Amino acid sequence: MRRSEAAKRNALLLLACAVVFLSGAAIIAATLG
Amino acid sequence: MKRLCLLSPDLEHARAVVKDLKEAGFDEKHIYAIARSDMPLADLPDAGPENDDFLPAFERGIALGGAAGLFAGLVALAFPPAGIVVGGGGVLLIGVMGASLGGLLTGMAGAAFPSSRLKAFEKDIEAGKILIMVDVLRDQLDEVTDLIELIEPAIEIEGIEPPAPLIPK
Repeated sequence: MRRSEAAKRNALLLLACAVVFLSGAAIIAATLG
Repeated sequence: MKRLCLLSPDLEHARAVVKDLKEAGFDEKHIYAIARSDMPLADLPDAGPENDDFLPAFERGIALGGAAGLFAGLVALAFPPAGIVVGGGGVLLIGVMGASLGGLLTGMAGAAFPSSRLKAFEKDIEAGKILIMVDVLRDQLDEVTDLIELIEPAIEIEGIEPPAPLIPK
């Protein structure tokens, strides 16, 4: 895996984490009304 | 798969050993070369994901964030804040959120640091040597070591890559 591919994979992992975290926050916000 | 580390005294030997490895059937994507920032690697395969500390930091962040999130969820379950009832799903959700936040933050931080697994080679790299790493199957290890010793005696064989320290220095 070369540097550009590694950077792309890192960015995707970070994006996935951000999506999971924000989804969780949205679920909590919706549950609490 | 094990990662064999080799130290080359100069660019010429590094090129030669990479060529030998390719001729021995190793794909270029399994060969990594790391040199001092002012040394042009040109046609040598670059370090790719091994250049920074992203992955080890990311894994640590997921584990620690997940553990902290689960703990926070259990605390919320035991002592419900302001009358809010937290069930098992809530504990899991807070755990997953903790893991994702931990991965996000430590991943970003880790990407800014050089690989902590390569700390042992830092002095040699600063001295102008070139670190070459190659992914080999466990049972091929002796064969590859013998081959390199035979073809390129100037190359120092450093053995298997050291594991990432739990707490980077």
